[in-house]
Parts: sequence; structure tokens; C-alpha cells
Amino acid sequence: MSRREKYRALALEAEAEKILVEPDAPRIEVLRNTWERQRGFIGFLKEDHHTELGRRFLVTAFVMFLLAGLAALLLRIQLARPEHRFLSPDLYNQLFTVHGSTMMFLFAVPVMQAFGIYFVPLMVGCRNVAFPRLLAYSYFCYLTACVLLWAGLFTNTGPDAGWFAYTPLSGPGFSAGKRVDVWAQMITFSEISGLGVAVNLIVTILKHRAPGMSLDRLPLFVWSHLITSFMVVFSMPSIVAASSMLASDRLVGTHFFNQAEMGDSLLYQHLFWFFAHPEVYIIFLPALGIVSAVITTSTQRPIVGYLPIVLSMIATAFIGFGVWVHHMFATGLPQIGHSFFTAASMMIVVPTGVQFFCWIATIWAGKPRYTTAFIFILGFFVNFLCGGLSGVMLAAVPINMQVHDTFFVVAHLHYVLIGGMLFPLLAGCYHWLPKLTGRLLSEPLGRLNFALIFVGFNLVFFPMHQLGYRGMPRRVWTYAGDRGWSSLNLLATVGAFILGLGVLVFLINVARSFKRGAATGDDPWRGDSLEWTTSSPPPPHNFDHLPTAAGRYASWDRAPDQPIVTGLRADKRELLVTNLLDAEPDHRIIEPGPAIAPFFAALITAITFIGLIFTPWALVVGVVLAMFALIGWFWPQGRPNELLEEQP
Amino acid sequence: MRTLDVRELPSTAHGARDPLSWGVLMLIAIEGMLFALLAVAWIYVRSNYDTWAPQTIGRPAFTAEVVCVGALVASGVVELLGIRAARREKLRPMQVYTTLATLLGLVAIAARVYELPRIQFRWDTNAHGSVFWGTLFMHSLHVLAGTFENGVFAALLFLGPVEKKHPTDLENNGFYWLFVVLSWLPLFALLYLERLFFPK
Repeated sequence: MSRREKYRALALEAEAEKILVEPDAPRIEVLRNTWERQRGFIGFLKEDHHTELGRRFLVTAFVMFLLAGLAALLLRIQLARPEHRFLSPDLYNQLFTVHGSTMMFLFAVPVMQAFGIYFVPLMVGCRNVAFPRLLAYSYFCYLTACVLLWAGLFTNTGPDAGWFAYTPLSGPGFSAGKRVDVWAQMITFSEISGLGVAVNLIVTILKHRAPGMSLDRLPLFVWSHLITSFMVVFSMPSIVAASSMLASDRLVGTHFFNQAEMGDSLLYQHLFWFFAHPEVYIIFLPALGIVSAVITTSTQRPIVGYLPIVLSMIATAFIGFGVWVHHMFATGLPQIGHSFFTAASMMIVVPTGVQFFCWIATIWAGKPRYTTAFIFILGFFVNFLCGGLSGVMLAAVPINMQVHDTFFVVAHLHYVLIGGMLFPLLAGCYHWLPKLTGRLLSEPLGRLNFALIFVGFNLVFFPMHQLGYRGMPRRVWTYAGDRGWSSLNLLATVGAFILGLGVLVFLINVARSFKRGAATGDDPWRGDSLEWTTSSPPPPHNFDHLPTAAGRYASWDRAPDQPIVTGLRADKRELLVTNLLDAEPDHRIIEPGPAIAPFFAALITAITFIGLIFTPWALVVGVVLAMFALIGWFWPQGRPNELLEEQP
Repeated sequence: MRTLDVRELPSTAHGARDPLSWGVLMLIAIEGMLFALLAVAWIYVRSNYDTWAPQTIGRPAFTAEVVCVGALVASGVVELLGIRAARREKLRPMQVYTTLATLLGLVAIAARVYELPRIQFRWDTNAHGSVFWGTLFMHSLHVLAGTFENGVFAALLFLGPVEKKHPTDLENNGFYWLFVVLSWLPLFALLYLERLFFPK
């Protein structure tokens, strides 16, 4: 074929495609109108799209991170030198409790879920989450938790019994006033929110995947959220039980944890840690998903050991439920308990190790691009490994007893959580924020950001291992100058400010990108999953045509003529339901659309549980109000959709 | 450009094909876990006692609870029939069974209302009382909410317009009610019967 003929054929092909695509243009306008964001203040309250709500979760969680970080700086100033009187002991107690509670319940879990809310529907190729109104409700409950805890602190009612609020300290006998009640109800709100999001993600992943995306083609990031969400479902009831029992001990005089009336303080610890140990993995598994996603994209090759990685994550989830007692080694357990939970805790090294080696092999076999996101992943390797190793030490009972409740534990948990979660999170931000905003973050600023955070973080927390060995108890308000803890504490405080500076650089980078960031285009990294096949930021309806998947890396594996889904209604918020294993198209459903009812339901939840801090009768009021809200939520409104043949 | 046309696919589906049924299943997992943990708390607290049970429930309260359990089980059977009717999308039996399940739910609630003031110990008597009342309270909330939902559904089926998706919703609602009924049976055995057959 001559060159001219070839061009002619190509031009004809392009023309033919235009004919196919062009009649769609008005349809896409209709689609855009159907899914258009809500406007105005009422619209803000009614909004139920996952990208908008994901953004809100993300922003709120980062605000919480900053506030809790500021609290940590105050704590570090207090500990910078011996006999310091910068904070009063009472304020110190409130600050470390609010710092820990915020970081665990209001930042780490929600921020990971925020990534899931935003990206899971995009990665599985659908237009919204399965239960958008539930998502809206979850957001307002989460917001209530944030406001409640921090309003408590600012009105001198900040919880002060530590982030795990052990009884009997947190019980009615030793914690008068309403501080612990604020904590308990904050837990209620944040857990309602966490559960709502988890259910949403599970059903979105199981039932709304793009045709062709069978379970074995699910991106690893999505797998991590699926597994995490199941962990949320099975672990969070435990903390709901613990905090409700604690609240009722304090409010109506029950004796769940009152030793004098045959209750049991250890029951509280069991219930708390049966949730809170899995929580570590609830925070950590989505981070692993981020690591896998960033490594795949950065090395531009399929991940080594997809199946072992998935199985390792599932194994981690299962084992994660069987190790909670290692937080309670100092409570006088029987010997067999020690042995069992030591073994279980050490066993978790195996699946984590498998994943590490898979990632290393992927990097080894690929040609990594050293983007800021990738460098943060390398930081994760180093720091999380340190945290993992001190974890193995803590799993051994003799060492555990020696360093129990010392700064060694503080060092370990920060290495695991900051190393294992914050580094991947920031990698995720550098990787995916361009998808949210359409603007690239600055790479030089990113490198500075990494350097400051890496150095600062290690300066704060590495000396704490040593402080723990030297016997410095955690949560201590101040210390005498002759204990040998002074210089290491000063070093840690200096590190904290460097870490804070690193976070500031990150904020500057994000703010700068809005104004001066280079436009990203749809796919700045040549990413492997479906979110990169739509515009940045995505249109209100996510995809002009719902995609189909031809392989594990749906964006890379696309055939030149990869089929698109047609035949969904554009004038209604219609979603495609696919079947569980193979994602074959099954049926179509119409989403109910935005409504104010979820906001009111959240408001009623807020009135009820905040009321419960003061009087048990709030529950009666709440139940009655909730019934009205639920009718508003569920009763069909507007023009009915398809009617049943028989009518009353 | 190749296309995958989904125009002809149905707009509703029954059973596990429906996404909401998975949502309800997850809700059941959450609530089921909560009940299981209450059972664990019961067993945990029991180990603190030398003699068990420290107080008796009292005959009137016990009898009322037996009536309550009977009403719940009956409503569960009716709800099963309602689910079958919903699968066949037959309006009349859906109306009848949903109404009947609501009425039986109301009987169960009435029995509980009669029972509560007649229990011979309070939640603040001791830890045994706390777990007993805590579990009973949590389950009663579920009975209340489930009966309310059944009632709302019955009203919808009589008032209309009944959409094509409503039978599926009714199935899911029935599924949840079955959980409320079935979850109580082991808890009832633990709270009310264990003290009779396994005292210490």
C-alpha cells in the first residue's frame, strides 16, 4: 500500500470514528447535567457524589492532622527540657489524649478511607458509590466527631484519659465531669462514619465493577480497600461496644467495668484492643495499596507477585484479629496466652515480608522513575522496616514487660504509623492529587518536603527508643534533670519542628500548585488503572462512557478498540450492576439522587449522642426523630420510576 | 468503536444479585458482631462470680419474654412467606404478610414493655444486671426499628405507587428482620435459659 493510500485509509477510519462519536455529544451534555454537582448551601448539604465527598473527607482529615500535629508540637515543647512549666499537667493530659485520638480516629482511618471514596469508584469504572446517601450521612457524622472532640478541648472539656481511655481511670470513679464522655461519643460518631464508608466501598467493589474486571483483575489498591473494609466491619463493633459500655457506666450507673460489682476492667481492654489492633491494619493495608499502585506506575511494569500480595493482605487481615492481647502482656495473663499471642504477633512478619520482597523484585526488574511519590515509598521501606523490627521485639514478652508503657512503645507505634502510613499517604498525594486538581505538584519542593520529613521524623522518634530503654514512661508530664533523659528529649523536640516544617512545605506545595502548577493532562504518569483514562479532575459523571477491562492493568491493557458500555440512561443517575466474580453485566439500577434527609439524619444522630453525654432521655428523643428522618430518606419522592404491574 | 450495549438488561434483580442485599448483609455482619461481643461480655462477667446467677429474673418477666420470643419466631415465619411473595412480585400476599409481620412485631414489643419493669434486678444492680439489660436493650432497639420498617413498608404497599424495585427492597427488609429474630435465639438461651440449666 502506498503511503498516500495508507493516509487515506487512516483518514477514513478517523472519519468513521467521528460519525460514531459525534451523535454522542448531546448525550454527554445530558449526562453532565444529570450528574452536575449541587449548588448553594442547601446543595452543599445534599451533595452525594463520591468525588465531592471524598474531597471533603480528605480536606477535613488533613485539618485534623494539622491540629493534632500542632498539639504534638506543644507536647514536645513541654518535654524539651526537664522541670519545664510550659503546659499545666492538666492541659498536657488533654493534649496528648486529643492528639492520639485525633490521629487514630479522625485522621489516619478517615484519610485512608477518603482515598478509597475518591478513587475506588474511578478505579473500578463506575459513576458513584453504591450507597451515596449513606456516604453523605457518614461524612456529616465524621464532621460531628471532629467538631465535638476539638470543641471539647477548646472549652477545657478535652478528654484526658489517653487515647485508649482505660478503665478504671476513665470510669465514673476517677474521671468526674464530661471529658471522657466527649471521647466516648466522638468514638460513636467516627465509628458510624467508618462503618458507613466501609459498607459503601465493599458493595461498590463487589457489585459495580466495569465489565471484564473480574476479581483477579482488581487493582491492588482496590483489593487493599476491600480487605480493609471487611476488617472495619468486623472490628469496629468492638469499640462501639466498649465505648457504649463505658458511657453507660458513667451515665446510668451500670457496672460493666466496675470491679467492685463484679465488672471487669480487663473486659474493656479486651474489647478496646480487639478493635484497636485490627485498626492498625485498617490504617496500614490501604497504605500498602498505595505502595503497590505507586510502584507499578513508577516502574512501568506489572507488579511481581500479584497473587502473593493479595493473599498476604488477606492473611494480614486474618492474623491482625488474633494478636490484640500483645497490648495486654502486663496485665497478668496465663502463660499460654503469652505464648499464643507472641507467636501470632511474630507470624504477621511473614505476609508483610512477602509483600516487601514482591515490591523489591518489581523495582529491581523495572526502571524506576524517581518521582517524589516514589521517593516517599523508599522512605516508607526504611522507616516501616524499623517499626516492624521494634514490633518483633515488642512481641517477645520479656522485652515487652521491660519497656511496657515507656517511650520505646511511643517510638515503635510512630515508626509503624508514620513510616507505614504517612509516608505512603504523602506518596499517594504526590501521585494522585494531580487527578483531583488537574495540577502537578512541584517536584523540587517535593524533594525538600521528603528530606525534611524524613530527617525530622527520625530525629523525633529514634531517640525515643533509647529514652524507653532508660525508663522514661510515656505520657509523663515532666521529668527531673538527673534522669539522663534531657538531651535526647531536646533532640526529639528539634526533630519535631523539622518534621513540622516538612508538613508546612507540603502545604505550600499544594497551595502553590493551585496557582502555578503545570496542567497535568489526563495521565501524567502513564498510570495502569482506570482513573487515568478520564480527565483530571474527572467530570461529574466520572466517565463519558463506562469503560471495560481487558486485563489486570485496565489502562495499559486496553485494546485499540476496547469496547465501551452503551445503553445506560443519561437523563437519570443510572449505574451498571455487574456480578460478583466475573463482573459480567447483570442489571441496571437508578440511584435515588441527592437529598437533604442524610444531613438531617446525621443532625439527629448528633443531637442524640451529644445529648447522651448529659441525659439518657436523649435516646428516646433521638429514636423518635430518627424514625421521621428515615421515612424522609426512604419514602419515594418525585416521579416514580418503573412501576410494578399490580398497584394498590 | 466496539460497544457493549446494556440497554436490554433488567432494572431490578432479586436475591444476592441486588447490591442493597449486600449492604444489608454487611449491616447484619456489623450488628451480629455487636451481639456476639455482648455474649462474650456475658460469659466474661460470669467467670467473675462464684455463684450464678446472682439474681433471678422472676416468673412474670420470664413468661413475658417467652411470649415475645414466640411472637418473634412467628413473625419470622411470616416474613419468610413475605420474601417468597416478593420474589414472585405478587402485591396482595406482600401486603398481607408485611402487615402480619408488623402486627406480630407489635405483640413482641408489647410483651417486652410488660416484661421490663417486672425483671427483678436493674442494670445498676451489678455487672450481671448490666450485661443482661445492655443486651436486652440493644435487641429491643432492633425489634423496635425492624417493626417500624415493616410498618412503613406495609403503608407503602397499601398507599402506592409501588415501584418495580420495591419487592426487592421488601426482600432485603425481610432479610434484616430474619436476622433480628434469629440473633435473639442464642442470646435468649444465654440470658434466660443458661441460668436454669447451668447454674454454678
